[in-house]
Amino acid sequence: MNNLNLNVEKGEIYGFLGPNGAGKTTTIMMLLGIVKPTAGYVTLFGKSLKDDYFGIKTKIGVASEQKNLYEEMTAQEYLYFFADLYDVENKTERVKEIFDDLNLYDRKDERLLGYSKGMKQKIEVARALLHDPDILILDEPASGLDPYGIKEIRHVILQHNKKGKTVFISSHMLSEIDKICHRVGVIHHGVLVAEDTMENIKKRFSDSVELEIELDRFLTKGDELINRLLSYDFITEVSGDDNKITIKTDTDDDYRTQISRIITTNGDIIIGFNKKELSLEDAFVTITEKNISMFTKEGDSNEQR
Amino acid sequence: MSKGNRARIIKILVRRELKSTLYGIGFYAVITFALLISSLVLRNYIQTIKTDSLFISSNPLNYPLYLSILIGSIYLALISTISISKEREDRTLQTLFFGPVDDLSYLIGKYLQQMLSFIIILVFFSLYFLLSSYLINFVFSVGLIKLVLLSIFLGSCIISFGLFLSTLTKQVKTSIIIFISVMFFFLGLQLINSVLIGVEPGNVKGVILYLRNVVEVLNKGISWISPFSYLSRGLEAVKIGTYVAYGKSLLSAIIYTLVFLLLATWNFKSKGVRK
Repeated sequence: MNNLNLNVEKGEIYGFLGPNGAGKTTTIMMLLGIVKPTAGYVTLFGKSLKDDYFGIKTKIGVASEQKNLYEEMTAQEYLYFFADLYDVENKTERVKEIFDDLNLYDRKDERLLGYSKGMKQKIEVARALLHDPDILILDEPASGLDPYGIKEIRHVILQHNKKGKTVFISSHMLSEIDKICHRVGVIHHGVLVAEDTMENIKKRFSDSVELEIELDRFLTKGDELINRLLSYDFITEVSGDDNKITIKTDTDDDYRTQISRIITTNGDIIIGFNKKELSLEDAFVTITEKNISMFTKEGDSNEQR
Repeated sequence: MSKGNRARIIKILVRRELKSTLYGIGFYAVITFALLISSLVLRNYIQTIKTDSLFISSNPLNYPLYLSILIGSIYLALISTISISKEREDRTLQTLFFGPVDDLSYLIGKYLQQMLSFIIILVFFSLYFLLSSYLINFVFSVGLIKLVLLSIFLGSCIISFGLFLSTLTKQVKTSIIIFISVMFFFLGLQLINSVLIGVEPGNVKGVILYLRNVVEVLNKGISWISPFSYLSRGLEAVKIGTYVAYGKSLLSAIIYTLVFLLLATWNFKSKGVRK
């Protein structure tokens, strides 16, 4: 880690992104006091762990990517054990509620040894949620889950957040992060290289905006419309297929009105207009690649990737 | 962490671990094995009485009980040695530390759980020897009760030593290798010492004399480190039968436990909980 300052707001879902080995898990371990920073300090709820270890730890729920379970226990025994550690009131009802949410109630009496990878992941998340923590920290929560499982976990995360609780997710599943996070931070080589709302991140780190326009006629080879569009500076790329034109513009402004005018001036009729949403994946790749180029000599970047 | 919370967490950790031990087959296998060995010794005593019609011993059950305790202790030492490294290797240790468990509550929990297991083993042994005493008419002496009580403290030495060894490594395999190496070193040194002491004084000169002196000094030093030496000294103290010897043995066991628990805590803190 190098001078890492993260600011996670109360009640938000914060996505913590970074390539493998960027330092995501180490950051989480530092937050939890499991890895000691060589310099600097960590405060949670305005306090350091030294000041109020039990108070802070019982306000945090953590689910790790590695399924570190006592496999000789049944799922119910396991959750009861942790409910006791976290001093959960009405543990029987609470454990049942979580089993129901994650669709595991029927298998509560089975030993964890026999659980599938996805079910073990659900138990990890269940353990993290047991005591209704103020901060829920999830390290790759969707790891090993099938689409149904991913949906269930997404549901419990959103439900938890609806209660005003903060969620901190570290993940490679950018599509999931895109769906649920309010803000993201991107870490690379132990340095925070970007932190903003999802929308701003996408805007800031996408090279172009892609528009797909459907016309009332088929395009011809070497169509005059394509050449006309390419003559404008803000349009970087135009391609046509059947009755569809795909246009890439720079990200400085919203050019949709101007483009509509250009097309309709000569009598063409637009029957469909679609602005392709910017993907977090594109933004992520741009951010991390730019970062690599900052740390490597010219020409070395490909080997580093 | 407040004392109340720590005490509650220790109780929960001890309960889980004890349940896991009592539900395991290893615990009962060791008790059965230890009692089987003791039964063989008792059978030899009875054979001697049958053939020679004579057997003189003020505490005939002491030695078989000592053997049982030794076997139970070796089992506990091994279990203690792998207990922390196994949790570290399985990463369950990390999961505990995600929550409100801290270094001290974890180590105290481990120690207390092992102590309770040892006490349960001692209850089994005591009941067995009480029954044996009734069946074969060997006296269940006060010395035997003293040995049982003293062995609780000696077991404590063995457990704290095992926990210390367990904090040294991050893998179960390495823990077992360390445990076996340490055991061989302790017992090997004792064996060499007894062989060299047994050499006739006339033959002790030159290299052998030097070797004997070195081994003797080493053995004396090791006798303060090896928890099994405390068990042997405890048996001696019971044999001597004075309160001073008994009290000395008890006090040294308590000091030993405290020193090794402190070393284990310090080592555990510096090594951390990650695999």
